[in-house]
Amino acid sequence: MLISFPNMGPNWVAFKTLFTALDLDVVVPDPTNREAIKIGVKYSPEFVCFPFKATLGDFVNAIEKGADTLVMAIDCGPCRFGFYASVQERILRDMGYKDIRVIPLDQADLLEFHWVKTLQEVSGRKDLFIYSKYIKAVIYFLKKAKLLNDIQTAEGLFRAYEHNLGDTTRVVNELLEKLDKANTLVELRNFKKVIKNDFNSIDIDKSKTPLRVGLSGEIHISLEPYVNLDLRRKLGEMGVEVHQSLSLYDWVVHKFHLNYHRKWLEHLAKPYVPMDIGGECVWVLGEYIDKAKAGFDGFIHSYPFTCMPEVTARTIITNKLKKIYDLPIIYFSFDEQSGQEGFRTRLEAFYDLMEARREREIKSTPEFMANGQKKIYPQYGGEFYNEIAQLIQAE
Amino acid sequence: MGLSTTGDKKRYKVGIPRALHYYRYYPFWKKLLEELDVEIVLSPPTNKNIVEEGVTHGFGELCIPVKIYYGQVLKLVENNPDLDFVFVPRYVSEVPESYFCPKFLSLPDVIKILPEVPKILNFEVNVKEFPISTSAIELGKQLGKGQTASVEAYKKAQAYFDEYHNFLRDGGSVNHALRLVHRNLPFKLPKKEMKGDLRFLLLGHAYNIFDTFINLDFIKKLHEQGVEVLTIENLPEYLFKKPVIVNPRGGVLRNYWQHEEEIMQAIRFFLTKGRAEIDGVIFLISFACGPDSLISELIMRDMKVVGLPFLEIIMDEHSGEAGMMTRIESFVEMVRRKRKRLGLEPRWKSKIKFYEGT
Amino acid sequence: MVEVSDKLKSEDGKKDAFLGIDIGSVSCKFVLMDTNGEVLTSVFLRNRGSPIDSAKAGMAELRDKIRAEPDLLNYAIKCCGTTGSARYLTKAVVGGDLAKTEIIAHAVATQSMYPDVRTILEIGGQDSKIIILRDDIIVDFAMNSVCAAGTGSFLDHQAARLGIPIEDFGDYAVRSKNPVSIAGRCTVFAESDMIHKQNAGYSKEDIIAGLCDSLVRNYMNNVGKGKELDEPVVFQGGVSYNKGIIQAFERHLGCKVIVPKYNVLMGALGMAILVRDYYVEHGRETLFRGLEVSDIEFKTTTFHCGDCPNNCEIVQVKMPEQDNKIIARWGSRCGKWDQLT
Repeated sequence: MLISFPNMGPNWVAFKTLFTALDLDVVVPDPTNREAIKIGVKYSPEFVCFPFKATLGDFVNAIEKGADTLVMAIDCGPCRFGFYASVQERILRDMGYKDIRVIPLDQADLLEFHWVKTLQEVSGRKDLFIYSKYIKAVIYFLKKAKLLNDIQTAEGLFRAYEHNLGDTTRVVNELLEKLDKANTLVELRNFKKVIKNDFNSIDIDKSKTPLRVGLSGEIHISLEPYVNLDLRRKLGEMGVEVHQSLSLYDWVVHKFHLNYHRKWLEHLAKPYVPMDIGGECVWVLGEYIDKAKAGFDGFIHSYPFTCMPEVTARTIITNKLKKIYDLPIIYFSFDEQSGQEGFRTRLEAFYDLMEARREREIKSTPEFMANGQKKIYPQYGGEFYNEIAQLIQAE
Repeated sequence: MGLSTTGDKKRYKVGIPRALHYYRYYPFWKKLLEELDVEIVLSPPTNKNIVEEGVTHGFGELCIPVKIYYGQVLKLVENNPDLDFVFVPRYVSEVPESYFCPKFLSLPDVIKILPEVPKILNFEVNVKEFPISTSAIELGKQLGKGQTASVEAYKKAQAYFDEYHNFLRDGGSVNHALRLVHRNLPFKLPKKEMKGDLRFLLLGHAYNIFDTFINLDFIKKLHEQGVEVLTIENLPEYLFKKPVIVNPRGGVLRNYWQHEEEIMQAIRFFLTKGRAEIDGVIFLISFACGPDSLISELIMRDMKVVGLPFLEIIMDEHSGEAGMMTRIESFVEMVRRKRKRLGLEPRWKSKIKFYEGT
Repeated sequence: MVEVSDKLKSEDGKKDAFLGIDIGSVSCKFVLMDTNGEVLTSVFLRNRGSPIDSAKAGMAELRDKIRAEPDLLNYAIKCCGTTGSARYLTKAVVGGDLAKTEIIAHAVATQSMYPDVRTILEIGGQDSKIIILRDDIIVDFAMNSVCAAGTGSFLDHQAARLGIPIEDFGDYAVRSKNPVSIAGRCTVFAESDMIHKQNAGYSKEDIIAGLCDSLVRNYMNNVGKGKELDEPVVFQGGVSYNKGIIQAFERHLGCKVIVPKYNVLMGALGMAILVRDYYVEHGRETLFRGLEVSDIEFKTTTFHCGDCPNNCEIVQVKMPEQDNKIIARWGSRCGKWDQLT
């Protein structure tokens, strides 16, 4: 049995460890690419949201590499995501992959422990002895997911300061390889230091005071660089600090009901949308308010074309929040037709817009960053963020 | 109307936009609100002006029914500046373990930020959290009514709503029934019975099928082609008792969109026992409808297996009459030829058979 | 011949001039501007096969124009900037000093003429934009994302279908008494609806006016959605020649719509202004290759990267005159090849 799962940016490292820790064989699909998207688009319903098409393409790729068991997360409502697994299985069958199994991983509420069933199904064992392995698998998974989150945080900050374009990207790729190979608890425990050291080795220009942008949106689109046209890297290379609290770890912890950052965001969004309506709608609103209050220069909201919850978020931000908080925002709705060129133009124009806004702010408030000190944005990310933020402070 | 203001107490004036859930719950709302001593104002049937207004205020990626809702709300407010409330319900779930589409969940939130909208009369139906009678009590509070009065009103409304449903199951069409409800007339089937030599099942959200403006009076066109039309509302209740398992082997996944669940349940009957009862299925979808984009894919694949003719019509504010007619006519003609080749009698008066039990 | 440009480029004692180039999807624009912001000369061309060919053709025409007017020989190009969708490639080819998006360029140019402008509408050949300014800075903008329904190409196509020269399109629209209503999110829908109306016997004038209305409505619902369009409103881009569209905009917005003098050259003009400010600020020596760019040969080659499953097609432009030096390279998704060294 060969297990596989769809791509979501660098998170293959975490998913892989979840199954290898159960002594199962895993095949990681190729990073989402043009070929995969082409296949996904060809076999998917025309008007379905983009992540469906992308993940279907990943599955076909994984099957061709030999996988026969595919794991797909599901949710029970209210958006389309919950249906992915079943419709994709149906489509794969009709494509002729008759003996493929798509195993749903119910993540609607992780404290209901439906995921144990998935692990049982995947490992094919239900006896008590396997449970110690489950615990190991989950611990490894959470640890790696957390470390991936840390890498993402550091990456967002460092790229804006690098002297040689591409250094950060190289360091991140090396770190992913290292993290994939780190398979003992000791290594994982010390991995934070590795991240810090590796990032510290990048040649950076600490005197810069880059623009600061918050990023949020639908999770697959926000994390998978191929489908979002490498938004994070492009921003960073334009010299923008990217702050994105959305990550796999953030989501999983939220589903364990332990994510206090998200609870804070929910609190902020409460007057506008009082409940979770699927996707990231509520948290996008929360992030927008939070970032506006923290004095950011801009906000980017990315989502799949026609995504139901995110379109609602967009409606509310444009019609209401934008007028209250006045934080520049740009929306990117991605589908298979998204073109590089228009995307770049918009991004650059947005950059100029933010720059002009900051210049005006500096003029009107003389103490604004007067001594070259960068404000540390306090609510965000906790300990690791603060350690990383220290590394980029000017001496 | 005969009912005048009782005493010197002011009667609230509440507006209901004729869109979205109107086509599904209007009799219930009307009874409920009237029992709570409220004057109801209904917005006019959708017209070009309303659609345009809605398109101006709704984002391009929204589906057309929601845009019409925007337009209806704005029209309502424009026509009745003295409204006390606009009735914008929040339907989260009506059956445990199910949801409505996210756009319904956030409907009051997006409506209340429109310009010049008066106070919103909140009615949250969320049986995951609390029963509907609680929703009714909350509704009563906003109108200054006590608990008993609200619960009483809810019971009456529910009884009336059941009666309405029974009428539909006897073969009444929704548009006809809504007209009766609006004029406070008793439920009675029209004398002229609609008969055709073909029988189609018409699927889709009520607000797509029964909004005659946006779907270019689709049902009437089918009637003119000699087709008898069945909608989900006309099917007996027992079909909708058992949930449809979308993923037979996984076993975990239930269909969590209530309306799509009903569609799948109806289809389940016609895929199996009821296979011979209909000649074709038409699914009316609005562009950018999230749930339907997936469900129609599943239905289409099922239809291929059993060989039922299936037509999917995607409509939006730009649907042209000519294109729609061409498609309907050719589909009807195709089905009719097929029946002829199979040597089947025209249906004319045959009554549809529903097998009770099991 | 070449001396002309050489002189223009290097000799001192001449007045400063700044060149702005806007190579878009349908046409390319060149504006030569002096220090005071006066347009000295300009070139407007339909695009040739590739941006490189367009840039070269434009340069050749600019050189001819300069040679024809003795006054212009007293100027020297100090700096050159590029904008439009092919801005980076053009910058590499002509040796530009600055590349900026057309949104910024349009805004800057419009502000130089109407300092208090608050809304800029721009409809070009393939794309349309809206720019919102408040207190002299851009606070919001949008570009068309879905399709080309609201752009010049669409009008061109429909004019050809109706057998009317595009120049007369506006006059027809202005003559109409009751514009018919034409549906149109998408060119295909609009066209089929239009044929339908034509078959139904409506006059050409009414159909064209309806088309203008539909284009404006489309633009408002697509690009202008959720934006507050305050006066003064400036309308530019190729479509702003069309009187019918101007009227339709005025009807829709309920206010006057200004069309600037250089309505199609605004992008290039803005770039010239931007590059002038850049020159004043930095005073660096220009990278501009001179007007003889039109004689330089550029070779475009492609290869497949093959380092990952994407197998991106990398395009590179070489200059055979300088030992095949690579001057531009693009096409990789990961950005690996974007660096030239």
